[in-house]
Amino acid sequence: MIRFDDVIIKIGDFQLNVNMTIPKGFIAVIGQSGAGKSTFLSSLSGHQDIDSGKILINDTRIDQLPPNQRPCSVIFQEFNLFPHLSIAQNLNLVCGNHFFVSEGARKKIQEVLEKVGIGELIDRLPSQMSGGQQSRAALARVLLQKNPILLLDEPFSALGPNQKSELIELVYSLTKDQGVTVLLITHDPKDAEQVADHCIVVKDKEALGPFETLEALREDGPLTGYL
Amino acid sequence: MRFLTFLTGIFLATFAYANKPVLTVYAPDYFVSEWGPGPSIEKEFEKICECDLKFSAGDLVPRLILEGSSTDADIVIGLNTDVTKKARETGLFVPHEQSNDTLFLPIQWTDSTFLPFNWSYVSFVYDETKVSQPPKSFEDLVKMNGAKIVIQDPRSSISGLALILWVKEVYGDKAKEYWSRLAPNILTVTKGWSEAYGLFTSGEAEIVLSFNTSPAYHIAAEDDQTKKAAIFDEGHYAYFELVGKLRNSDQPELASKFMRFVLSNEFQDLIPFTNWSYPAAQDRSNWPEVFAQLPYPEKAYFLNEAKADQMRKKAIEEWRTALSQ
Amino acid sequence: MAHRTVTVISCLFLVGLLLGPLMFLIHFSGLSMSLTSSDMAAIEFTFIQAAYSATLSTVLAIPVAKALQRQKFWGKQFVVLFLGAPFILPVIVAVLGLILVFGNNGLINNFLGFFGFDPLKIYGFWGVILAHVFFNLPLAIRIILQGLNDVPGEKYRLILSLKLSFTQKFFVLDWPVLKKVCPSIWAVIFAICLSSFAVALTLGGGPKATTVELAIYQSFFYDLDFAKAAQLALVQVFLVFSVVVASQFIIRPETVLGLNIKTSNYSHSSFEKALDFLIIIVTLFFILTPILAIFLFGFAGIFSLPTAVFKAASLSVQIAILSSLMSVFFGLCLTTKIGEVVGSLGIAVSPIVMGAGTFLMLKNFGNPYLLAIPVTAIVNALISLPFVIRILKPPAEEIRIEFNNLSRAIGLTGIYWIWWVYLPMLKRPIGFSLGLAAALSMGDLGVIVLFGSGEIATLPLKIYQLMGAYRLDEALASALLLSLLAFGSFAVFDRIGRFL
Repeated sequence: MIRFDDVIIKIGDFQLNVNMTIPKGFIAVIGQSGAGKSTFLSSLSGHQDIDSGKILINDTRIDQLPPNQRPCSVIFQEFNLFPHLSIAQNLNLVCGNHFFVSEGARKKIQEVLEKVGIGELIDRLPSQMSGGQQSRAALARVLLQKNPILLLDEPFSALGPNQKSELIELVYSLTKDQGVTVLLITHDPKDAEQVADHCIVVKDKEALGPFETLEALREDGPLTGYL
Repeated sequence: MRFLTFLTGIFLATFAYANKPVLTVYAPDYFVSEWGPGPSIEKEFEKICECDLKFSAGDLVPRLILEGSSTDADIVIGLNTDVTKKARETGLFVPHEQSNDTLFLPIQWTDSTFLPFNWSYVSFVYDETKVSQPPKSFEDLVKMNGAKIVIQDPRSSISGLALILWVKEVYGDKAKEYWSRLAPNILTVTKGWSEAYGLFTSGEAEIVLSFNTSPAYHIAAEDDQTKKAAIFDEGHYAYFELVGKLRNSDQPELASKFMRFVLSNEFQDLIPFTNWSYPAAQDRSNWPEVFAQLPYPEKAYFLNEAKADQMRKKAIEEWRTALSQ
Repeated sequence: MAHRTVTVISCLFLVGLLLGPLMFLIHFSGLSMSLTSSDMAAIEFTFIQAAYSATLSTVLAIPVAKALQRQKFWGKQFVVLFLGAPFILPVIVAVLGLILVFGNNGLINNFLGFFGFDPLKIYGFWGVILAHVFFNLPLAIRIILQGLNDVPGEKYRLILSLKLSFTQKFFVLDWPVLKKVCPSIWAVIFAICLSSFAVALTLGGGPKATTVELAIYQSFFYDLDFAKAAQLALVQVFLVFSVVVASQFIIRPETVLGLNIKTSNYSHSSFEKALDFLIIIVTLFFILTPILAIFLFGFAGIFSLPTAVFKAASLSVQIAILSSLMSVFFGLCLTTKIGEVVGSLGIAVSPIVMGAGTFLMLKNFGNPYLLAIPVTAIVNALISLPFVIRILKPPAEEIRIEFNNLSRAIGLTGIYWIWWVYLPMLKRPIGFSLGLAAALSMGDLGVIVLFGSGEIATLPLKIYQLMGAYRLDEALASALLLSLLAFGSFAVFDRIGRFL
C-alpha cells in the first residue's frame, strides 16, 4: 500500500499536489501531456525530490531514500538499456555489483528473457533488436529487480498500437499473481480499460483518485473533457 | 618502469665510477650532443685526468641562478660575453688562473674569470649562386636588390644580440635610422640561429646572420663552396665562447686541471671540426687549412660586458621601434 | 554525487600542480609590478593575433566539418585521420613545411611567378595567422565533426524529411551543435595561440610580432629577470583564464531530443555535393601539401640516421605513452564545467615558468634531474589536458544526462558505473584523446631541457641539436621520423578506441 501524505512537488513555476492512498493492483495514471504524470511517478521512484509531505510504502517512509533503495522498479520512456552493452550485460547490472557476467547470473537472465519471449536474444546489443524486443528486455530487467512496485512511464508509446497492447497484456500476466503493484502512465484511456483496476487522474496541479477504472471512464467521471 | 631502469642505471653508473672522482661540467645542449665537441673532449680529458667527466646539458646562467651555491657544477663551459655580467654577479665563479697571453685573439683579453676557448666573427653568410654582388658593408646590405636577409631576435638569440650591438657600435646615434632603412630587406626575424639558418639553406632567404666560420662546415662536410661569409669594411663583431670555474667545486684541483686542458692542443684541435669555430689558443698557422683560408675582416669589434650591458637595452629598443613601423 | 568529489579533488590537485610552480618562482624571485611599453605591445599583439587565429580556425572549420559529416565516400576515415596531422606536428617541422609550400621559394610562389603574378607574402601578421590556422583548423574540424556526429541519426532523418530550406536546416540541425561546441573550441585555440611563440617569431617578420610567451622567454633567459618572467606569466594566465571562463558563460547546455523515428535514407542536391567535395579538397590541399613537402625532403635521410636519434625516439615514445595515460586519466576526472576551466590552465601557464618553478619545488626534495622523465611526462600531460577535456567533456556530459535516471534506478554508481558505462561508452573519445595527448607529448621539447637534460634526450631536442650542428638534412629526416611517430601513435590509439 502506497500513501502520499500532503505531498507537494515544485519545479520552477509548476506545482503538483498529491494526497492519496494507492491500493495494490494494476493502476493506470492518466492525464494530458505536461500535466505532471511523470513527475508524480518520479517522486515515487526517487528521481524527483518532493518539497513537502511524506511518501510511505507499507507505513515506512521512503521519500528520503535514493532510488535504488526504494522498493520500486521503473521503465522509462527512453534510455532503458545501455546501448553498448549486450542484453546479458545490461540485465547483469541489476544482479548485484560485478565486473563480469557470472554463470549463475546468466542463467537467471536467460530464464527471465524466456518469460518475456526473447530468450534467444541474450547476446544481442539493443541496436540489433526491434523496438518491441527492446521493451521486452527492459521489462525483463524490472522483473529481475523483483520489486513489489513497478512504475511504467509510457514505455511503449513509440510502438504500434497492437504491439503496445500486447506488451501491456504481457506486463499484466507477469505481475498479476505476484502481489506486484503496477503504475502505468498512459494518455490513452483504452490502455486503462484493458487492464487497470484503478485509475489516477493527473490534472490541474493535482493527482486525483484512485478511482475504480469503470467509474473513472464514465462519461461524467473525472476524465470529463479528456475522452 | 622506464623510471626504474633509469634509477638502476644511475645507481650502477655511480657504483662503477665510485673509485674515480667526478668532474661535473655544465654545458649548453648543442655542446654535449654527439655532433658537438662534448664527447671528444670528454674522451681526451679522461685519458689524462684519472677521473670521470660528466657533462650536464641545459641553459647555463638561469640554471646557476636557480641552483645557487648548492650547484653541482665544477666547471661551466659555453658561456658568452652577453651573459658574463649576470654570471659574475652570482658570485659563484673564481679566477681561471690561466695566462691570457697564451690566447690568440683579435683583441686583447683581460678577463681573469672567464676564459675564451673558441671564437669567430659574427657575419652575414650568403649563397654565391644567388647573390652576385656580395655586400662589403652595412650600406651595401641596404642596397641588395631583391636579396632577402634573415636575422635572429636580439631578445632570444645571442647572435641576434651581437648584430644589434655591432650596428650600434658602427652607427652610434644613427643606428635606429639604419634599421629603418634595412627593414625592407629583412625577410623575417627568428627566435634562434637554427631557425634562421634553416630558412637560409632551404632557399627562403639569400643572406643569413651567422658566423664567418659557418662556410667551413659546408666546405668540409658537404664539399659545398657556394656558401660564403660577407666581409664588411667596417669590421666585425667578435664572438667568444667562454669557460669558468666554480667557487663551490668539490674537485677544485680537477677543475683547475680542466682549465689548463682547455688551452692545450688536445682540446684546441677538437674545436674547428666539432664546434665550427676558431680555436682560441692556437695561432692561425696551426689551424686546419679550411679555417685558415676563410676570409676574415681587418678590424674586430668587441664590447666588454659593462659597455654591452649599458648599450643593450637602448639598442634593442631602437631596433624594435624601427622594425615595428 | 561521487563525481563531484572526484572533480573537486582533481581540480585542487591540478591547480596545485599548475600554479604551484609559479608561486614557487614568485617566492624565489619576487614579482615585478610595472609593465613597459614593449610589454604592452606584446600583450596587445598576442591578444589580437590569437583572436584572429581562433576566429578564422573555428569559422573555417564549420563548412569542412559539415561537408565531411554529410558526404560519404571511399577513404573518408583516412581523410579525417590525415586532417588531424598538422595539430600533432612539431612546431618547427610544421613551420618548415609551410615555408616549403607558401614561402618565397615555395611551391605556390613558384607557381604564381610562372604565370607572372606577384608573390604571396607569408612573413608578417598574416604569416602568423596562416600558421596558427594550419595548426588549429584540424582540431576545430575534428571536434565540430564529432559534435555533429553525436546528433542522433533519427533526428537527422526526421528533419531532412521535412524538406526545409538550406538555412532552416542549418538553424534546426547544426546551429544547436555549433552553439554548444564552437565557443569552447574558440577559447581553446585562443589559448593555444596566446602561448605560442616559435611560430610567431619565424613567420612574424619582425619584432611587431612579439608575443607574451616570447617576452617571458626573453626575461628568463636573456635579461635573467625572473620577477619579470613571473609577472608576465601571471598576465598570460589571467588572459587565458578570462577567455575560458567567458566561453563557459556563453555555452548553454542542450538537452538532447530523443526521437526514435526511422525514415528512409536521404540525399543531397548535386550542387551541395560538388560544393562539399570542393571544400574537402581545398582543405586537404592546404593541410597535406606542407606535410608532403617535409616527407619528400626528409625521406631520403631517414634510414641513415644515427642510432642516438632512434634512442631519443624510443625515449620520446615512452614519455608520450606515460603522459597520454596521465592526461586522459585527469581528463576523465574533469569532464565538467569547472574541470574544463581548471584544465585550461595547462596552456595558460608558460612552460618556461612551469619548468623553472617545478625545478625550484623539486630542489627541496632532492635532485630534480633524477626526476626528469616523470616530470617531463607530467608537464606534457598537463599541456595536452585542455584538449583532452574538450574531447571528453561533451560526450561524458551526455552520458551522465541520458543515463542518469537508469543508473540511479538500478543503483549503478562509483567504480561499477565507471567500468560498465563511463569507460566503455567513452572509448572512442578516449582513444582519440589518448592519441592526441601522445602525439602532442612527442612533439614537445620537454621543459626539463631548459634546466639540464643530462641523461635524457627527447627526439625534438635531438632535432635542435642537429640543426645547431648544421646538419639540416639529418634534422629534416629526424623531423620526419618525429612526425611519423607522432602521427603513428595518434593513429594507433585512435584505432584502438574505435575497434576495441
